[in-house]
Order: sequence, then structure tokens, then C-alpha cells
Amino acid sequence: MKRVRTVLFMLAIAAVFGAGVTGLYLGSKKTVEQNKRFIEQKALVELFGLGDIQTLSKEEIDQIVGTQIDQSETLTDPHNGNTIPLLKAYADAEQTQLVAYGFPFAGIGFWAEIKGYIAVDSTLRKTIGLKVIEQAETPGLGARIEEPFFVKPFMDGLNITPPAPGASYLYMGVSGRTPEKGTAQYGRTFDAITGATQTSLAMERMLNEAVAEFGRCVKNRKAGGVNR
Amino acid sequence: MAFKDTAGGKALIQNLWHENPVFRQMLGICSTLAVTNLLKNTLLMCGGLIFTAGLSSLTISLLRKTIPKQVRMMVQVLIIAAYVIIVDTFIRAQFPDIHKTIGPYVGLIITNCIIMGRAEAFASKNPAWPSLLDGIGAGLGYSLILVIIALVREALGFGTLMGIPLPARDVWWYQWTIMVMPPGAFFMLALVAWFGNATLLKREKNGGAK
Repeated sequence: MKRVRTVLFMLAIAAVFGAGVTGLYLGSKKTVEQNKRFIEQKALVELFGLGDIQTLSKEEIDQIVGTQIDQSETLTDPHNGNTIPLLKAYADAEQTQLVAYGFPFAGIGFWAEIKGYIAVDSTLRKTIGLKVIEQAETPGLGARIEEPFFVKPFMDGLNITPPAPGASYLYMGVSGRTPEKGTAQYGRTFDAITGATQTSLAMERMLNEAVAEFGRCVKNRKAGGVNR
Repeated sequence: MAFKDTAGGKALIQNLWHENPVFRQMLGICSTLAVTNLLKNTLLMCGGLIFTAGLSSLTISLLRKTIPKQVRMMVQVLIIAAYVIIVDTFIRAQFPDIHKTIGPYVGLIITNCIIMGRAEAFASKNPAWPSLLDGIGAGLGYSLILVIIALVREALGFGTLMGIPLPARDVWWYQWTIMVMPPGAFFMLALVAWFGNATLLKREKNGGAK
């Protein structure tokens, strides 16, 4: 009898608290999804430099993303058949003046998956921005991949033209040290984060993979390969 | 009767210093080491912990006569987990940018020994009001130490406070990166524990503390 009472008690308390938590989750689901969408929209506006996200309202950001960023095309990687979305950012709502292209990157960081976008100029030779939209790295250390000092080299322009055989597209470097001209690292190096070597290495790996895949996709597109 | 002489008042005050969960009982060390490199993250973690510790102690106290003894710890974990999910959902919905930063740590409040410790040691044996105050006191005691550690670590490690650069940071200060890394947290925790325990021992020797 005592055992039955214990089991019934556990069932009852699990049902009460489970229902409460589920209700709260369902009640906030819409807001959470809206927040997630808004974070992504803000990230895109910031990535392509289409406005100051500090001064723009939610509606203005929504409008800029809707009119100035074309997200309708996807590219296919002939190497593995993967498809990636191609973002095209325009300076005007009529989409006459192309500013940049963008594509996503993703990979496993030190703790969890890191997702974001890379922006490249219209000649596809240099980066013009990097934006992390999802990460769970160590606050104060790996999480600094979102900070301006880490993003700056990408905004200043890192070379993403095909590297020499055996070399990488991008390299993780040491803060304050510029690679010498003529080396494989010159013009392709971003600063590592002190105390977050694993996150920095993970970023180097996933960015190289993303840029290489984008390169293959573009080559395939130029060659008339299948895209959607 | 003065507030400090009531059961709840005593529990609240004792947890702040004399029975501080961090440096006297060595509880909640994991998060103390993890979040204290930035003051903003620390304050949010502390807010979440005070909320969870207070309300889980209150709930466990209200149910203490109904909870079967053999499953009490399972029930305590279930109640604590429910409150942590409430905190997580609230921050996720209302402060999405902040959730991006401290989200991974909010879930870890469930495993914070302070909450479970206070639930088992106090709330399961005492009435609701003192239990609520005991939980809040434990949260405040934890927060006091974390804020002290975070103030030093962020200032020395980043040269900032709440993310705002200290005056002329780049002119006079070379940032001590080790302070924002795990060893910095261990140094600071050891120093705070040493200072706190030494102060209490000195007072006890002088007959000042009970």
C-alpha cells in the first residue's frame, strides 16, 4: 500500500510540474521563435552593413531584410551534393545595386554547435564581414567570437581566393603579429582568442570548410551546374 | 521579536556570512568558477539562483509532510528542475541576447549543490516562511561572494566593469588574461575563502561570534 502511494505521489507531482513547465513552454514558444527570427534578421543587417541595428526599429530591420536581401537562391556543391543558401545583399530596395554575397557556416565549437554567416564582396575575392548567430562557448573566452576585435579582420577583408595546393583559405594567427608578405598566411589571418584556443581552432576549421564549399558551389554555378 | 531573532531571519542572516554556502560550506563551486569572469553574467546567474533557491525551498517546505521519505530527493530534484526551466524560459523569451550568453549555465543551476543542500538540510524540516528566507539567504550569500570575485576578475582580466572599459584602461593597464581563465577563478576563490574564514576565526577567538 505504501509503495503504491509513493508511486502515485511521484506520478501526481511529475504531472503537476510537467504540465506547468509544458504550459509555460507553449505559452512562450511564439515569442521565442520571433526572438530567434529577429536575432537572425539583425545579424544579416549587421553582416552586410545595411544599417545601424542600434537605431533601427524591429519593423525597419524586418523591411530591410525583406527588400534588400535576396535569399531565394541555393547553390549546390558538386563534391558532395550539399546545398547552401546564397544571400545577395543590395544597397537599395529595388535590388539594382549589389553590395555583397553571403553564405552560412556551421560546425562544432568547444562546447556546442556554432552557426553564422560570412559575407564576401561582389568580386568574391575578399570577406567583408562575419556574424555568429548561435554559439554556446565559454562566456568571456570562446564566446568572444562575436566581439568586434574578432570580427574586424573579416570586415577589413581577408583573401578568399583559392590558395596554393596544400595551403588553407584562412589561418588563425597571433594577436598583434602580421604574417610576412609572400607567406601563405599573408592576408588570410585572423586573431585567435587568448584562453580559447579550442574555439579558435574550431572556427578556423569550420570557416575553411565553409569557404572551400562556397568556392566549389560558385565554380559549379559558373560552369552551369544545377542550382535552385 | 526582532527579525534577526526569528527562525527565518536567523536563517537568512547566517547564510550571508557565518554559514556562507561558498566559502564556509564549499557549495556551488562549479558555477563560482565558471561565470565570474564577467560581472553581468554573474549577476544574471545570481538572480536565477536566488529565485530558484527561494521558491524551491518554499515549495519543498509546503510539501514536506506529504513527500514520502524514500523518494524525497527525487521530488526535490524535480521541483528544482521545474523552477530552473521557468528561469530559462523567462530569460529566453524576455532577454534573448542575454540568454545567448548565459544560457548554457542556467541549466546548470539544477546541479547547484546549494539549492539541493538547503532543500535537504532546512526546507524539508521547517515551515514555509523560514524556508523561503533560508533559500533566499543562501542565494544572497552565494551572490555576495560571486560578485566580489567577478569584480576583481573582470577588472584585472578585461579592464572593464559590466563591459564598460575602466578609465584610461589602455594607457595604464595591461590585462591579466589569467584572471579570466580558470586558474584566475581558483586564485580568487582561495583568497576569498581564506579571508572569510580567517575573519570568522578571529572573531570566534575574540568571542565575537556565536
